[in-house]
Amino acid sequence: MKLVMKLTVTALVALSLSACQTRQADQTQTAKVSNRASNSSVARSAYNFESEDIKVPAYFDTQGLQNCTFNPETESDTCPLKKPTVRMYFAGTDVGGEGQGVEALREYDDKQLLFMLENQFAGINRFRIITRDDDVVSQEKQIFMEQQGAKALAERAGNQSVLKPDFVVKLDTLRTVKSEGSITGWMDYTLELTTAVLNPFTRELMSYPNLGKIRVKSEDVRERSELKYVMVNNRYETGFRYHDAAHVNAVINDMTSRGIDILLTRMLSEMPSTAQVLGIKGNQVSLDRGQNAGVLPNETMVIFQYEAGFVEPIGVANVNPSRNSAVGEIAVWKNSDLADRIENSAANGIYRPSNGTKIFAVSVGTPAGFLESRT
Amino acid sequence: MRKLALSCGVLASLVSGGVLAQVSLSSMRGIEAEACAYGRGAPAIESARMDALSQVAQFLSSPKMLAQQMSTEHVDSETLTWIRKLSDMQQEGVSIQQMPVDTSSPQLRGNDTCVTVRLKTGNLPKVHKNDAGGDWDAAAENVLVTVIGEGWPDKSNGLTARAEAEVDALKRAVSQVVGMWLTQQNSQFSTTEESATESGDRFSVNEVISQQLHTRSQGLVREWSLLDSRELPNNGVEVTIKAVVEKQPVAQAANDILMAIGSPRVKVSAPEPLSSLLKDWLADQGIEYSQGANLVIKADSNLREKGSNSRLQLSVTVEDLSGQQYGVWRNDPSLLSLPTSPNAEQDLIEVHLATREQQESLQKTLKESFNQVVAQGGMVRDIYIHSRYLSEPQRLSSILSTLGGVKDVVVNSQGAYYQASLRYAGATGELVAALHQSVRPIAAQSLPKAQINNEFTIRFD
Repeated sequence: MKLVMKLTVTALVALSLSACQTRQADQTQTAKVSNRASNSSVARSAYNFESEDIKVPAYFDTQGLQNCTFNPETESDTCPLKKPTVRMYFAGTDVGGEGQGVEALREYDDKQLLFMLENQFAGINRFRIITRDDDVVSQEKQIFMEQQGAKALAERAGNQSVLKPDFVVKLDTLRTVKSEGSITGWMDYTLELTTAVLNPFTRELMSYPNLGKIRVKSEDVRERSELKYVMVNNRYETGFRYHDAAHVNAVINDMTSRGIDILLTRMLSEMPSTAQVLGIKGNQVSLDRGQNAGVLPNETMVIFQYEAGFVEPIGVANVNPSRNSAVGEIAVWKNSDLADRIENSAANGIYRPSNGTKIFAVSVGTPAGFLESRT
Repeated sequence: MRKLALSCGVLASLVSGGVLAQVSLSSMRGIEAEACAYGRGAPAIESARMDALSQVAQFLSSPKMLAQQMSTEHVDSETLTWIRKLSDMQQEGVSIQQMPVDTSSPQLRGNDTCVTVRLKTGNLPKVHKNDAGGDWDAAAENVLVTVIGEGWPDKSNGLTARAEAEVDALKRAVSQVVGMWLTQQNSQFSTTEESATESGDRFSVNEVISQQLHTRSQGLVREWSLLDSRELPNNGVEVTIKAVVEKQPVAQAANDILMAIGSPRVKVSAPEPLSSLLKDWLADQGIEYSQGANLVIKADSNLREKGSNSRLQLSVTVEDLSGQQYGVWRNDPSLLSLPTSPNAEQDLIEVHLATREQQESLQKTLKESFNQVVAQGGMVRDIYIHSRYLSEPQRLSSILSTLGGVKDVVVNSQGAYYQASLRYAGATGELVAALHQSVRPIAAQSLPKAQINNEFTIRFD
């Protein structure tokens, strides 16, 4: 009996103790660190949206145009159209060590890739880019002088001066190579790209835009069989010329080009273009900025009402820009009372947002056809 | 009901250049016009505003439109009178653009920016009046100035404080008139006298000229009268005088000095191709070139190569033969780069010297250097006198210092010679003549004929 009593008391104490103890909050989970190749993600066409898909993406910016002077030289910092002026660098790291194919990889020249990067970045209109192509610039001046004369050149050069960069955009690359196999082997190249926006005078690395890390593997751009080679008596016999810089460059160029494409798509998601809706007529929306704010052709834009810090999606539109403005067609209206109300009043004439509320459009990311038509 | 009718007003549409602008008129709101212009920002707003105003002007000058307005009964008589007045003024050539108008805040419509301008009933354009005048009255012979002078007793020359103060006041009177003359020159001949009389430079030029004119101030001031005087600490006196300064001699003298500053003779010392280009340029600027000149323009060019491109570094200094530097100019190498080639240097020099900004800054530096030469009392010259000609060499320095126009005398003994370095503002011949005269009291025998090696060295061997 005594034993039963003891046991009961122990059980009660244990029970009361366990009642005091609360469950530990479970907020994190284990995730695998991936070393798979990166892929690009682009916006779906507005016409393929469902009502449930219409949500406001990250990084929308609802600043107005009233702060803009529209003069690139004196543009105010608060103007949404002001783009940072940057110079681009392709920081190729040295490939260390020795081994099969390392020498050829080391000889890689990334100057032309830098120019390609400049051209591609200029096209998306997120930055003002100062080219580092000195040769073309001075050659053009030489030809200008020969054809127009020293005086005309002096006048031209005196009237305009080179832009001053606000930041430096730097691409860091990490190139590695490994070979597998013995008699029949294959090369396996990996390229890792990271970008940094930095202020060279304060040495501050900017946290935005953050494009993360992009990993490209040789198998993304070449069939594995193309990189196969045969060794006889420990000497190259036939197959992929891993020791020949030109052949290696061809592979690395393709990989870098793919990396830059992915980079562009990330940049467009990271820095979406935003515009204010001036009016809606039927399904047509009129936006207050176009190419000047980096709106691209066939842009998929989510239309939303912004009031007191809250957003209410209205629909999704397929937008095409002109220089200072853009027009779009609302492909799908959101299934909501607000959207219905606006749709009804737009059906009978031009709907203009009243004073208290503002309607904006923000791009979802890279336009659907961008990779086919621009890269 | 009537009010409603009035505020509705009359609507007239004008089509101009494909852009539709609307002009409306009502008694309550006046004339309103709306116009749009392509683009964004201030330029687009301004162009839309101007467009709207020109629509208003067109509306006012169209008799048909006006007659239509006059005949309607919606507009009251007060507004009609105002419109008629506006129309009359416009026909007299008064621009509607000068009118105070209300401009609405801009509205964006697609690629266009639109504004509405409103002319309130009763507002009329301001008539612009021309007013002319200035300090330098070209017709008058004399200029009347009131100036203040200060002075302290100068025992060594036996001058009282009052006499010193009066001399000071007279100098200031002349200086003031020189200032007026320069201002007038600047406004009248701004193209010919440009950089010497530009705002920043004018003060120093005025000072230089006044300094040169001070010995002649008696001749330039026709008459003067004392207005007031008061004592200053340390036995000083302050006088206020009213002086009548003759314009013609001041203008003449100032002009002479300005000419001397503006176009001295210079020697160019630079490697080719810079030298010939620089001489060419100097000839364009009206500056005389002479191999024996005391003032030297030294120039040097340097190519800075980076990769396969070159930039140019150019420096020009103005010195006299003794090595005194009066000014230095450097180009802006960042202006442009050209592909490296045997001709790159010549091409770059040509372009750099053809750039307006660089030309102006080089010209400014040269002019400032020439001013500097005058301001410092002329260029440095070396005089060598053999010791056998001097009985009291220790007095040479003080004797030379008393010469008119001579400054900064330094005497050295160099073997059998005495070397005197001094600044003199006039011509070398004048200096030699003055030397013959003044050295006589300390001479052991009369000085021989001077040898003038160049403008810089005078020798009595």
